[in-house]
Amino acid sequence: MFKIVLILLTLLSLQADDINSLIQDYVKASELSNKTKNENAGNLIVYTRDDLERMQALTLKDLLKSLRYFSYSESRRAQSDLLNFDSYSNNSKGIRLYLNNHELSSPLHGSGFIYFGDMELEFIDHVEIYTGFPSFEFGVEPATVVIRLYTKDATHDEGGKVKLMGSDNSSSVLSTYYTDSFEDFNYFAYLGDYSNNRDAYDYKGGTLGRDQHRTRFYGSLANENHSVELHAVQSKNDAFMGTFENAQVKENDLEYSCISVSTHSKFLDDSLTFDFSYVNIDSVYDQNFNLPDLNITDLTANNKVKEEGLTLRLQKKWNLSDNEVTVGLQYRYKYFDITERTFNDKPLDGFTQAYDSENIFSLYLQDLYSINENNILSLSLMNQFYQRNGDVNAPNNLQLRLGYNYTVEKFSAKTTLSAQSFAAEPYTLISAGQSNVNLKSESYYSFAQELTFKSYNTINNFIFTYANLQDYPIPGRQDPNGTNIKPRNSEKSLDIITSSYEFTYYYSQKDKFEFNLNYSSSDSVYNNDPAQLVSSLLRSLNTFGKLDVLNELWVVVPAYGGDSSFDYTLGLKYRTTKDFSAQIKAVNVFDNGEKRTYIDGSTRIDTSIYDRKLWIGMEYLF
Amino acid sequence: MIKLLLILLLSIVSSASDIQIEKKIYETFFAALSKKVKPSVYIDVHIPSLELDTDKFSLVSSCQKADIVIVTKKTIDAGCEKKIIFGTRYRHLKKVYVLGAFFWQKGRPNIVFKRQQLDSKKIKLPHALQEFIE
Repeated sequence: MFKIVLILLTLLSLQADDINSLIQDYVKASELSNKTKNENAGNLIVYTRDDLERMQALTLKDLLKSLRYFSYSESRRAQSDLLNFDSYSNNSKGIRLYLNNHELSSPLHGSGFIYFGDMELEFIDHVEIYTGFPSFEFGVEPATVVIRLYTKDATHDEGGKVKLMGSDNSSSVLSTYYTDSFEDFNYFAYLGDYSNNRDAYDYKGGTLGRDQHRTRFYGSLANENHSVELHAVQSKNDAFMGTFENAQVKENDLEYSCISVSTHSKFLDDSLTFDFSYVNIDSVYDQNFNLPDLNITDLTANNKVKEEGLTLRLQKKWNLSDNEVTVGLQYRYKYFDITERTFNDKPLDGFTQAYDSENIFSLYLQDLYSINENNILSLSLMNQFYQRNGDVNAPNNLQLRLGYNYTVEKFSAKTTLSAQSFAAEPYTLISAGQSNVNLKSESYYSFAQELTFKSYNTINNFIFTYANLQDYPIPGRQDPNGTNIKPRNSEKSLDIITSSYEFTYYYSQKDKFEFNLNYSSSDSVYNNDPAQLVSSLLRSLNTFGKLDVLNELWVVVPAYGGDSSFDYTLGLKYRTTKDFSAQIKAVNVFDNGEKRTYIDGSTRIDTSIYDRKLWIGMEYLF
Repeated sequence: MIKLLLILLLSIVSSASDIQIEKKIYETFFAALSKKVKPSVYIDVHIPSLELDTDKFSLVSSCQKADIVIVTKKTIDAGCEKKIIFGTRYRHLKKVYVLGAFFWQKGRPNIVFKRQQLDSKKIKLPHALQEFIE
């Protein structure tokens, strides 16, 4: 019997040594190499380059659709919002989005998720998503979810790529990149044009549109220790329902342009890092509408917003025997101006914003203590000092995080306790009529437990989190009579429970099956019934010779009742040569995908988050 | 028992890191390019995979002492151009004295051996590597 085993072992080892098998293993291992991922930093999800390519992920929205217990959503202005409890406002201030080492931030809204939550992924190599109140080492301010996008570069991508895609409703993607390296430096340049025509809805005799069009440039220049990046976006989209209730929308346009410059430098064997980033965002929001219930017609509103931000970050790590100590000093300057606004072409002279700039000084300390090779304790402290140049609440927030990781070959347990406070973002303090200068920080006290069991071809993952939320800021709004209701901190303490079971089965090197089952329960400030949500993902990624196949089913049983949704997506990608491939992706095939419900006055409007769409396209590498 | 052994072996193969596999690929090249059991190899910059412990080759501190030279830069010492020189970038293949290269391009690893250099050095590659000769 042992002879048979030995023969089998020999055959297997010979196969592993075959050069083509080695190359395949090498590609796989390079994708999963822990160059960037940090298991101590949170409950981690990684989308490798191979995942992104075989899933034909066009934008970040394609990944966030099936994120455990959160789900991509949008506000009344059709802007990205992951934690969308209330569609009037942007609730994603705890979602921190990073492009390489730099946060894509919005000085006015805090998180840049509102602008970049469904950004194109063609220039992205891989994506890491950290949930469960991740480590403080990521940012100036605390986070509930950290999304890190890593761009392609010349190290692996010397050469270029052109991608063309079109859809059945005239949506299109046209993008190209080129990267090369020289003796001491390398560069990467990407240019993309994304046009997404989406389902529109008839409402009160008007049309609620959500079409998007974006042009994006990203460029980087790097040597071994230093890099500089330029990221520029020009975007125009229909702003769906807009901000006025019971309106008959004639036209709703939201345009923004964003430019950011950032640098990253490493010194002292990479133990000391320095980051700089500057961002400038200009946006214009134009509304033209009637209020049929009040017999008022042809109203116009125009708002211009200017935002400017500067971030400096210095971080030093020391490896001291069993301790890895990290100290970080961070500074962020934010400027924002929302005073340039007109109503029926007349300036709103009476409006002054409570303040227009702030400084945030942030200091954090983290110690990773290895008790032994299987047990790691992590302790993190962070403090933010806010300076705001007006008579508004300027908090001084202390953040605490305690983690314990137990890891053996096939099992790991990750436990995290944290206490975090999120300062009210400027727009909730200064918005016209719908702001409250005394808005306090909201606080989360959380516990997260993750258990992972691995075998050679399966991963079983259980995650449970409990969070208690204090002082939740109930968004401001305008009631149907035009009266402004200020945002206020809820006096009710809210409990949020989430749990997930995730199963991955690798039945060959290029074939995997994933199954997730998620449950969440969140107390509401509006009623006594918690919002209970159940969702499930079944995804199969297969490769048959030159053909990649994606089968994905995303099922959601919505909070507060309503019909369950079944979003089935099929993707086929055929590589005719190493450099040329043709692809088809059918999204929400049965047009029964997840819905977003908007309440407008007393009317309920259900809209698709993912429209049924058929994409056809090609890619050429040169 | 058998199942356990199989699982163990598969786990070992599947859990190898990218630099371990990269080392194994280089070892395959070195075995094919040199007749020595343990050829000496020179690297002109830090290459983690080639600095791992191994009994299949040894690193030397100058290219003159090496059987095989791995280039990462644009030029090498003139006295080393007659050695077996292997590149790490596509552009290295343009140098006449470079015999082959192992490099990433267009998001995938590539292997190229130049027939002219193989012939001039009278190297016959094993069957498994012949598909990479250009």
